[in-house]
Amino acid sequence: MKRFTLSLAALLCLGGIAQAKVDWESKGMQIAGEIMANPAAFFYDFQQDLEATTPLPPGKRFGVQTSLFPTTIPMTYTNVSLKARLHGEGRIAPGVPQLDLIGGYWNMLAAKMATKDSQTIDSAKFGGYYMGAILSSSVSPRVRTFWGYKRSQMKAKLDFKAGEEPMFLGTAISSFDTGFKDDFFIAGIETPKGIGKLWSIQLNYGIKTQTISSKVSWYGKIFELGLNIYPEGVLVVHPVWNFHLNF
Amino acid sequence: MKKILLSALLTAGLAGELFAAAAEDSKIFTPFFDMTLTEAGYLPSEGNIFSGGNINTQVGLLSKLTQQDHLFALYNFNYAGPGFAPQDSKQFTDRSMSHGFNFEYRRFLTDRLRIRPGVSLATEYRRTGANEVWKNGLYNMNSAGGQLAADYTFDEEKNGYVTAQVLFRNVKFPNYTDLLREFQNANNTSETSGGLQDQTMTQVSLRPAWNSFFAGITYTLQNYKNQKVIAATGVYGDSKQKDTNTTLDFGFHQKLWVFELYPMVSYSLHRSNQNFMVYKFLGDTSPQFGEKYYDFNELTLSVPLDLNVTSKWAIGGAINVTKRNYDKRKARDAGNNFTGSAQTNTMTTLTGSIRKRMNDVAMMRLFYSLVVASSNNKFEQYMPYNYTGNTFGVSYQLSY
Amino acid sequence: MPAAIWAAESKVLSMSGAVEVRPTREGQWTPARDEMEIAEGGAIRTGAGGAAVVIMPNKTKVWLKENSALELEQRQTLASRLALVFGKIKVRVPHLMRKEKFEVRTPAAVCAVRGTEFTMGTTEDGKMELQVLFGEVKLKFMIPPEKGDSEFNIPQGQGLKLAEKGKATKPELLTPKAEREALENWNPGLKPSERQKDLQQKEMDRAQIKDFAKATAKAEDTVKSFLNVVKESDLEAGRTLTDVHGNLVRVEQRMIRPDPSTIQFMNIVKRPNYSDYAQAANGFKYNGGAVPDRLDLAQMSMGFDSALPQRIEEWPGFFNSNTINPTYSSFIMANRTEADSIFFVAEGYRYDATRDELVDNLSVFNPGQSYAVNDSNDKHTIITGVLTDVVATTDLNEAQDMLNAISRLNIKDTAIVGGATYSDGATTLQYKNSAGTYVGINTVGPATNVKWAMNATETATTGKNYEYSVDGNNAPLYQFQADAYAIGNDMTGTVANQGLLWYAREDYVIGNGGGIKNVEDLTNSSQDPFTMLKGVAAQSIVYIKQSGTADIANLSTNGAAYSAISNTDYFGTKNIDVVIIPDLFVAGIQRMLPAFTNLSN
Repeated sequence: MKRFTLSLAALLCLGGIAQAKVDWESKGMQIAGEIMANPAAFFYDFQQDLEATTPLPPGKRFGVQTSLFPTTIPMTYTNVSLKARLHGEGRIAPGVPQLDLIGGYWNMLAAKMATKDSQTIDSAKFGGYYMGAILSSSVSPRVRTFWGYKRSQMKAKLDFKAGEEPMFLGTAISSFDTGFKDDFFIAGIETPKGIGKLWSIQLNYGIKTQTISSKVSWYGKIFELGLNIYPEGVLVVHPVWNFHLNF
Repeated sequence: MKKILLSALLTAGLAGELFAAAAEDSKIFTPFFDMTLTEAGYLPSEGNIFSGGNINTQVGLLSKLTQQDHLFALYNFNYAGPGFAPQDSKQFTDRSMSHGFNFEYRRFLTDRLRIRPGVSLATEYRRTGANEVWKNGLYNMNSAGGQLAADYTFDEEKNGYVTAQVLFRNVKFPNYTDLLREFQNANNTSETSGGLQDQTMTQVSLRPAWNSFFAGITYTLQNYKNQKVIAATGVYGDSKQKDTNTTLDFGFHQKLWVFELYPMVSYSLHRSNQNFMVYKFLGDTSPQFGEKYYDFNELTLSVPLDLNVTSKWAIGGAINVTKRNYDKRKARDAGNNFTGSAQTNTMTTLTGSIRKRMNDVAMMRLFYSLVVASSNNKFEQYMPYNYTGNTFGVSYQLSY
Repeated sequence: MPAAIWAAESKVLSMSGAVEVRPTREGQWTPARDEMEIAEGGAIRTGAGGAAVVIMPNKTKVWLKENSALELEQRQTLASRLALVFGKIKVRVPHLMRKEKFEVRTPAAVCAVRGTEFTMGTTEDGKMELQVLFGEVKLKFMIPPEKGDSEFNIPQGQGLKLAEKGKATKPELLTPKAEREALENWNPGLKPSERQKDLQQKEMDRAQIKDFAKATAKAEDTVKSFLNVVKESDLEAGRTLTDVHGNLVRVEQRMIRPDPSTIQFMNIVKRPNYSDYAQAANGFKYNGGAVPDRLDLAQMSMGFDSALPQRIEEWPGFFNSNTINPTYSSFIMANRTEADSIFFVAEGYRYDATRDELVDNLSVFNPGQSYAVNDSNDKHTIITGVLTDVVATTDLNEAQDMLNAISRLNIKDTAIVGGATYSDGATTLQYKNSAGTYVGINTVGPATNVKWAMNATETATTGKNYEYSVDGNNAPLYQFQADAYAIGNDMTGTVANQGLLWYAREDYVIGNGGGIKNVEDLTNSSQDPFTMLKGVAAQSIVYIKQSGTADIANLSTNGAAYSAISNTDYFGTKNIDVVIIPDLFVAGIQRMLPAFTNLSN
C-alpha cells in the first residue's frame, strides 16, 4: 500500500516524463545495424508501400496507380500498378464476391544511373513486381471485407565487368544475385467516409518468411494517404502517398 | 504452417461468401470481422526509445443450424510487438505472433441451461530482438485441446448466469531444449530435439455474472511431460515438474450518465515444485540454489474510466497495478547473488486516451501511458525490473 | 426465397391493408388479392396502412409501403421499367441476363440498375430520395439542373436527396438511421416493432461472437502466461541440423555477461551419436572412434576496463559516448564429453596499451609486457592440452575451474614474467585457482597435460604451414589448414627444443543437411541474405597432432609440411568438432555496432 501511494505520488509529480532522454545517434546506429543484418527486408518494405492491395471501389472497373512517397521520392522506385475488375459482386451469381486482379512493377532509377559511371559494375538490376487477386464482399451497405493473395518478388542483381570481378572467399564472382520472394495472404475491411472516400485497414501476411505488415489507408478519388506499419521492419512506420485513377 | 494458413483462407472465404450481398440476408450465417492495429513509441528511463505495435485480427462466423444448435468458428491472428510488460514475463524487445482457431458448438438443453463443447488449436511464435527467424524461436508453442462449458441462467431479467468450464490443452514447445544443463552438471543428460517444456494443462473454472457484475474462480493444473525437478546438487531428479495456479477475480461494468467505469481485481496463487540453479556463467562451479523458485502470489487491479463527451468523442483514463510477491524466491543484488529477502515486483500503469468513433464500425484512439516498475531485485542484466517508461501511441480499429 | 414460380406476368406476392391493383393498362382499379397478376402497363397502389410485395418474372421483388403508387410501364424479356408515381418502395433486382435492362423512374429521374437493392421515395411533384444498399444505381435526371451534374453512378452505401425538381444535388453517404430503415424487413403484415427484429437479432448474434472472441482470446492468453520463463542470457538461439559426417547435431548459442565488465559468447554442440569417420583426402586422421553423447564447446570471452551498463539496450549509447578499451579476449574450443577430462585449444589476446590493440603474442603469458610489432616474439600463441580433475576429491571440478581461468586469461608463465622469451611451455605455466593463488597448471590432476606454444616463423623456404582448399569458379567452401607451433617458443635456430606441435583444422561451410556449400550458393541464391544465412553453418574440426620433425627448416614446401604432420595426436585421441551457426552474430552486430565502430580491432 505504501509503495502504491509512493508510486502514485511519483506519477503525479510527472517527474518521470523528463527522466528518459532519446539518444538519436545510437538509435541511428541501431537502425544501420538492422539494415546491414537484413538489407533485402529493408528495401522490400518500400516495395510493400507501392503495392496496391485494396479492391476497386464499387462501380469502378479499371484502375492505375503510382506511388509517390516514399517510393518514387526519395527512393527512386519508379513504379506503376494496375487493377482490373474481372466481375463485380453478385454478377456471376448472387453471393459471389467481386474479383479484382492486381499487379505492378517497379524499378530503381538510382541503381541504373549509378552503374552508368561505374567501373566495376556492368549492369545493376534492382526492381521487382507483384501480382495477385483480391476478392471483396459487402457485409452491409457501408462495410466491405476483402481478402486475397499476392505473389511478390524483389530482385537485386549485380553483374560485374569482366576483369573487374571482386574476390569472395577465394573465387571471383561474376554476378551477385539476391532478393526477396514470398506469397502473401491479404485480409482487410473498408468503409466509406464520404463520397469517393474510403477508409480501410488491411493485414498482409507472408507465408514463407512470416513477414507481416498492416496498412491503414485514407483512399480518396485521386490521392491516397496511408500509414503502413511494418512491425518487424527497420523503419517501423512508413507514411505513404499514392496517386491513382479509377475508371 | 501452410495448413493453418490454408484453413484461415478457407474460413475467411467461407465467411465471406456465406453472407454476401444482393441475396436474402442470411438468417443462418452471421460473420464477424475485427481488425485492431496499435503502434506506439516506448521511452524507458534506461535505454533508448523503441517502437512496438500490436496487430489483432479476428474473423468469426456464427452458424445457426437450428434454433437450438449454434456453431461458432473463430480465427484469431495476433502479433504482439516490443513493449512494457510486468516484470519476469518478457524483455522489452520480445515479440510474439500467434494463430488460433476455435470452434464451439452451443446447444440449448433447456430454456436456461446451455452447453458449449469446443475445440481449439493454436500456434505461437516467439522471438527475441535478436532477429532470429520466427520458425526457430526457442519458445515457439503449439497447443491443441478442447473445453466443455455449461451456462445456467438464473435471472433472465438482470442477465444473471453462471458458467462452469473445464478446459484441457496439450501444449508443445518443439524447439525448446536446454543443452546448458549437460554442460553445467555432468550427471544431467539433455534432449537433442525439443520438447523439454511440453505439458498438459487442465483448467476448471466457475464464473457467475449478474447485472454487469462478474466474478470467477479458476484452478489450473500444469503437468510437465519431460521437465524434471532440479535438486540442490544441480542434478535433475526423477520427479516431473507440476504447477498449479488458483485465481480469483471480480469486476463490474457500470454506466453513470456520461461516465463508464469497468474496474477489475484479481488475485492469483501460483505454486510449483520446481527449483532453480543460478549459474553466473558457463562453467560456474559454485552455482546458487533457489528453492521453490516459481511460487508467488499476484494481485492485479485495473480501473478504467471512460468519459463519453459526445457520441463520437470520448476521453478515457485507466490505472493498472500489478503486484507480485514471491514466496521463497530471494531477490538478487546487482552482483547476481541472492539476498535474504523474498522478491516482490510492482508495476503501476497510468493511461490517458482520446477516442474518436469515425462511424459505427471504425474507431481511432490516441493514448499516452506512464509505467512505473519497481522491484527489490537489483539484478537487471537480462530482464528489466526497475524503470519508468512513457508510451505514446495510436490505435485503429475496424470492427463489424 | 419462395420456390421460383415461372409466371408470365408480375404478381402480388403478399399484401396487407388497403391495396388496389389495375391489372392492365386500361383496366379498372380493383382491390388486390394474393397471387393477383399485373400485366405490362398495369399498376398497384396502397392506401393508408397498406403494404404489398410484387414479384416480377425476372425475380425482381418490389416492396411498397403505405400511400404508394407504382406503375409497371414496361415488362419485356430484355427491358423492364417501373414508374414510382408517389410513395416509398424497396426494390431488389437480382442478377440480370446479359443485355437485359431494368429501370425505375420517378417524376424527376430515371434509375438504371443491374443486380441492385435500393429504396426510393418520391412525391408527385418530383421531390425524391434514393438509398442504395447493394450494387449500383445509374441515376439520370429528366430535367437537367442549372448547375451540377445530371447523371450519377451511385454505389452502395450512398444515397441521394432531391429537394425540388430541377434543383442541383449530389450523392451523399447513407446515415446509419437511413440504412437501418432501408434494411429492415418491409414485408407486409408486420407491426412496426417487428420490422427491426431481424436486424436486432443479427446484432445480438454479432455481440455474441464478439464475446466469444474475447473469451477465447482470454483463454489463450492464460495458456501463454503460464509459461515460466527465466532469462539468464542476453541473446539465445538454437538449431538442429546434420553435420558434414552425417551426425545429428543440436547447437545452442548464448550471450551472457558473467560480470559487469565481461561478455561471454558460447556455442555449445551436442551429438547423441558421434560416428567414426575416415580421414578426408588431404585432411587429418581422427583416432577417437565412435563416441556417444558427444559435447563440444566454442567460447569467446571479452573483458572491458569499465563496467558495461546492465541493460543491453543502453550499450549503443554507452559505447558511443565513452572510450572503452577491452582488457582481454579469449577464444576457446573444447571437447567436453567428459567433464573431468577436457581437451581444449585456447587463443588468448591481451590489450597492449602501447599499441592500442589486442595482441596474442608473448604478452599473453606476461601480463603488461608490450612487444613491438613484427618482433620475433610477436607471433600467434596457443594454449592447448587436457585438463583433468583431481580424482580423489569429489565435485570440485578443477578441470572446469582451470578452463575458466584460461578463458579469463588469469594465467602466466613465471619464466616469461622473469624476463625470458621462452620456457618449456609446461612446468612454469600457472593459473589462478578458486582461492586466488597462482598454481602450476600441470600440477593439478593426475593426467593434466597443458602446453603453450608460439607459431613457428614462416619464411619463403622454412617453417611452411600446410593449407589445402579447392580453387576455381564456384568452388566448394571448405579448407584444411595446419600451423606449426613451437612449444614454449624454445627455438635454437630452426630447431624447436621442446618439439613442434601442429594445430590442424578442417573448416567447412555446410547447409542444414550437412552438404558443403559452394560460393554460388551464397552469392547467387536470389534469396535475401537473412533467409540464406539461416540455412548455413560453419563446422570446424580441430586436432593437435604430433610433428615428425622438430626442425622447421624441413618444412620447406606445402607438401613437406603435410608429411611432417603425424597421424598421432599429441594429447590422447580426442578431437574437437564444433558447429557454429551465424544466428547470433547478426544480432550481435545490430546491438554492438557502435562498439565495433569504436574498437579498433
